[in-house]
Amino acid sequence: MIIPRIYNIHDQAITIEFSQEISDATNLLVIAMQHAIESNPIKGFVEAVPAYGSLTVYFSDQVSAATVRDWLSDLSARVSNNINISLTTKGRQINIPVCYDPSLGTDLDWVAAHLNRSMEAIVDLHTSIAYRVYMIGFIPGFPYMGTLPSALEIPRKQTPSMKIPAGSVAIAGKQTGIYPAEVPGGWQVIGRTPLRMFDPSTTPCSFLNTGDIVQFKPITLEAFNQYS
Amino acid sequence: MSITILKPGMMSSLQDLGRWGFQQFGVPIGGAMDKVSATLANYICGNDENEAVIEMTLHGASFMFNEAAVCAIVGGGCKAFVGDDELPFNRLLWIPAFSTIRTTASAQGCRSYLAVSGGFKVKKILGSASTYTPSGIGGMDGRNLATGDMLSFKREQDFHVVSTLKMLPSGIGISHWHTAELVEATPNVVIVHAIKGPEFDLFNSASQENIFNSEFIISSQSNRMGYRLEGNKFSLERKTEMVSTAVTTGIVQVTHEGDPIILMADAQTIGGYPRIARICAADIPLLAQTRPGLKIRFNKISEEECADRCKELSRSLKRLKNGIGKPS
Repeated sequence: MIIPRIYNIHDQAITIEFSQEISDATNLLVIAMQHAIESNPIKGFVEAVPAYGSLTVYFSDQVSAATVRDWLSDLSARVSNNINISLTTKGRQINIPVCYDPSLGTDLDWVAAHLNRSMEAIVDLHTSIAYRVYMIGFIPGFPYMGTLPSALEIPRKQTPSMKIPAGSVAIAGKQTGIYPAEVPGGWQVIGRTPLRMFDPSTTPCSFLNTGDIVQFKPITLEAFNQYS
Repeated sequence: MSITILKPGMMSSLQDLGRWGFQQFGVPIGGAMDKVSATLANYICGNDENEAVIEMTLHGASFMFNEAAVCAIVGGGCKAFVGDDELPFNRLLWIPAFSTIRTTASAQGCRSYLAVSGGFKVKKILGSASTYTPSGIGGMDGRNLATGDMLSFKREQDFHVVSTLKMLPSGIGISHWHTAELVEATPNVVIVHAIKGPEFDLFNSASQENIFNSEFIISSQSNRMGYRLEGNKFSLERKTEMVSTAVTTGIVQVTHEGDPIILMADAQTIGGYPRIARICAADIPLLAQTRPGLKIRFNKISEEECADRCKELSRSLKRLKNGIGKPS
């Protein structure tokens, strides 16, 4: 039984933190908690934001912080007692095409050299397993995914790149992610997907959601160009 | 039924009270930096508090009214003129057709808000008109306002308002009444109220002491996302890697270099730095009116005092709204 830590991050936002570690079990608990909250929200509930091991609830002045705290504490006890293992299969399975051509995966050769492997071996490793989307954040639509094979673990760039193109697939530490828009960033870019990760005109606006299971599928440069 | 942006000044953008409900997809709340002043500008015009307004940063903006309009300016950071007539803030204004509002430097404040009666016609993206430039959404094509942009009004302006106003020879009308200044002009050292952050206990004793007992200068490296602070450095008692979790406006996080950053309106939804303190939400408008280069200090309060300050602010806003409801 996990005793969560409950604290305010704002007068109208309370975080319930289950764990400080990255694990599928904790992340599942976070998602189960989010579903429980959204399917039967308290008066004044605004939105819930999942992270690796915590969930943050935003609320209006229609409800007091004390009431929200009690409600979260109560609900989390019930959710952790009744969490159903079948939730593990609930995440959508999604294939994402990625072109690992060095012209798009601009750090692929550096990553290969640093890890003392061929570029092909890096691609094989990255596509060898499916990844869990632990949360969406950093910028709209950016999925934090893991856990990378340990052979692929690599530090962030010392100096972040000023511009990482939209669609860039990157790795850092035990994580992999996709840049939805052109922004500065410090992760190592090893490929690019032609898919759009964030589109405010679609519902939902983010291509991926917390709990999704992602499998990267290598495509050629020709196939990549045909997408656009 | 529109205004044309002749000059956007240092930075102008369309903002409302923010984009709610999409933080789980990484979309920040955003919206006006000083939501109290934006709300007040709308209340004065008789608008809903969430109507889009123009947020001006400091001075240098000029807008041409292509038709007469009823509007209001609230906030700070500039003085506003039409010709030689200075426009007072916090009052209902009548601006004749083909006049140009231009703003000049002011010693106080940082951001001012222009609302027009009925609001501007802005396409809402994910439920909000707020401009969020990193993703290119909201406002005018997802970007800040630029020379030549034309903003249409949602509805015809009400000429009858004029009879209730004091008319200047130039044709400008000014209401006899004005609202109280809810966001006080910036004094020498700005005092904001703050409480311990979620990771306060992980910081070393010098850091725990200094955060509430020292002055900071707001760095020029500050923007709508966050205010970087210069002054003492802060460090954890033991080096710990944090697992990223939700952050929001008012959170004071400490970077690996030891510098505090106060997250502001465009705060990202998730952060991974330790959070040493949290600014009381009622003091965010004051911070938004504090420009880079100025000194600030955190005054430590309890969670209860923080909640009381927030309640008091929302009561003041309600009182003002009701007061404006019957301007005669």
